[in-house]
Amino acid sequence: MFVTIASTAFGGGQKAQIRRATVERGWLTDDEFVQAIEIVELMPGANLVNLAVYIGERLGGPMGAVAGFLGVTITPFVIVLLVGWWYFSPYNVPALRGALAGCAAGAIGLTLANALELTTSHLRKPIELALIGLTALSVAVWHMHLLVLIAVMGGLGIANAVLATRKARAA
Amino acid sequence: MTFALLLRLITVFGTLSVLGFGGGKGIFPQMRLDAVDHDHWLTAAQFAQFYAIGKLVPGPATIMVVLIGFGIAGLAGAAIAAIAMFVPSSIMMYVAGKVWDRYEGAPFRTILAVGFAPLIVGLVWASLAVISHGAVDTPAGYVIAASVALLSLRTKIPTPLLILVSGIAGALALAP
Repeated sequence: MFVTIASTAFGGGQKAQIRRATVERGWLTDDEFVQAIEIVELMPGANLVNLAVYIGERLGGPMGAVAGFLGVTITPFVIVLLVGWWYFSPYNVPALRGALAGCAAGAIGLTLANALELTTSHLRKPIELALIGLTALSVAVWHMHLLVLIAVMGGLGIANAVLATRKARAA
Repeated sequence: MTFALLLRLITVFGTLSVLGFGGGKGIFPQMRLDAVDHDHWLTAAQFAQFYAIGKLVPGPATIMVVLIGFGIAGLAGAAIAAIAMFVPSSIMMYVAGKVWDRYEGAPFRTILAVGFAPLIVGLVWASLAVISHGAVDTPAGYVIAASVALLSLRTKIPTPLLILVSGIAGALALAP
């Protein structure tokens, strides 16, 4: 069991791959997978790792969770370790620094796209939009610590969600 | 590696692990503020490069902590950074996963998801501002970033390919 889970998660790529591996194998139904995604995205930690731990636990208990964890982390760890070895070695020649700076700029561009994409579903909700702006400002300008941010902005967000649910129920 | 440094690595990444609501994307601004601006483990430019490598490699983007750890203390630093980053959140997930199934359809599940969403989106905007600060600050860099953003929104080109193409553009336009 341990080996099966670990080697399945081993492909290690994206959510879609894990979905295919688990749903097609009959380990989880489509519905259970959607439920899994819900908690996985809510809990702290990398979504992919959380998903592997959650599915592993359902299939094989504690050992299954460990298998899922290792399966989804070991390969990326080894790859990045090799990259690190190269990065901090003399083989990281100056000629490649432009390429690395280009990759960094590209990653920033992806972040911009991601931010725009995520914001669109909040555009018609002024309170949520204000919270998004306030969160961004608090970090970028005032360097507010993540813990404070979660307490304040998360708290306000939840208060807003509670009020919105009540209003929807009353209507 | 000194004991103090070891402890600091565990504190920084362990804290981020426990506070990483919404997956990796919410923790990068705090990681950059800790590792670059507070502890000076690496430069702003290096952090942005590691961030890109994390997106390039298959698996969780937060795996880039291995590079930060490796830069400070070699293999041991890499291993400790990864353990501190992934183990605490996984233990929490393990416990929560068992509880979660018992509350199927409970309203607090939706409220938590809806309530945290603006925080996470705000943190992605913060990532953009904080990570690019001191790292992407040339006209050519802005052009690459803007082009990638547009391509990502308008086409279905896979993320790693976009980063690789940015690398080629960078080699041509950003070489020192």
